[in-house]
Amino acid sequence: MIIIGTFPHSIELEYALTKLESIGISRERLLVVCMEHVPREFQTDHQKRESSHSKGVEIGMACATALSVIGTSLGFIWTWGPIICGIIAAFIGFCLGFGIHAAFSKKTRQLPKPKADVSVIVQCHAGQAGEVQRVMWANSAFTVGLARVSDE
Amino acid sequence: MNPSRRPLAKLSVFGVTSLNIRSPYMVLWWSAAFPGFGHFLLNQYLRGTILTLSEVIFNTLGHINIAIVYSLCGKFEQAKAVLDPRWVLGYIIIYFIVMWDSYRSAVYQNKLYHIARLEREPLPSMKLFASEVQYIQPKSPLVAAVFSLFFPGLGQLYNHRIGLAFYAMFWWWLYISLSHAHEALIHILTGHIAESVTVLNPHWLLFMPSVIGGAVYHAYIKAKEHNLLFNLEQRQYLNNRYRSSSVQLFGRSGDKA
Repeated sequence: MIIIGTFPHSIELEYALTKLESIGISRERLLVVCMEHVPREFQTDHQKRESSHSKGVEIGMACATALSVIGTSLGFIWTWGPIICGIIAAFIGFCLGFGIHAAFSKKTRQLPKPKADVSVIVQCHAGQAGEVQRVMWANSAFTVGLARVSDE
Repeated sequence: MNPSRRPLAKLSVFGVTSLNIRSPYMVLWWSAAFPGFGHFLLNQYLRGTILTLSEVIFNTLGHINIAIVYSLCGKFEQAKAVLDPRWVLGYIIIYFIVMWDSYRSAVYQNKLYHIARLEREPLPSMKLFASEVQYIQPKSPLVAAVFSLFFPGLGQLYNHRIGLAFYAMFWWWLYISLSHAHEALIHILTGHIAESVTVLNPHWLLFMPSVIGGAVYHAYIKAKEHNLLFNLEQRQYLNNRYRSSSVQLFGRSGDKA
């Protein structure tokens, strides 16, 4: 039997693997493949492409802080006072930073979010197949598949 | 595990210290918002801490924050009068040199990061100390940011960066009490807008936007760092442990059970 499970990077994955070994699947009968989300040739030498969204949050935070200092100061002469002016200015700053970044960043096609980080392939007897699948499902596997190839 | 020449990350009692890709401009900006914050982003916690202390002390002595409030409100004469010339020039020199130093360090740390990634030295995953347990764990950047938004330092606590967490929480308590910010907030919520302004102390209040912004930003990116390190470490471990697999998907299995 061949059983294939896909997992995210998680502590549950490590638990699943140690559990499989403890129920009698020897380490040699496990094949663990770490999956890439970006083809190797596209992985640039420099910064890993960050999601545009998270860059926007960073710029938003920076602008929020800057405007908030100005808003807080001006609040001492404006009617609503420093706290409300500071908070409003921070909010406006965040929206400005985030918005300007969104407007000027190149519209890149949003790829579907990659999920499976690791594929685990297990070769085992028919009798163990049920238990192996149960361990995988119980430990945050995304997908689990079974191939009925005779191994004996 | 031999000590590596260009390690990517280290676990200590105080949390995870690692190299990471940082935009030098963001580091420069956070140094401008609060001298020392740029160094915190670069994991240079000791110098960051001392720089923030120095900022608070000399800003207070020179009345810089008060002068900023007066200037932005258009009261230039009062701004000139309140600044203490004994401290202002030195303050400005340190302010800009610290910005430049953090920028330069960010550029250099980015280079170190690329080398460390290529060298693939073994990464730590957890460590037990007599007084602490430290491990790299997947974290939610959003949760970290929200924690620090409510009370700067809590996001750092969530990210296991305990030294900075308690340092930030201690200072936030001081800012709240010296600026009377929470008192003013209660006045606002109970509809006493006029009292809410008079009760505030502008000098201490003006530190707060930068501190809360910096704490949120730091918590957010450190959570992302945890996730990256967790993934890298797990890959290292899996590739190492299951290297000798004899699973054959096609043809005869090499290892008859």
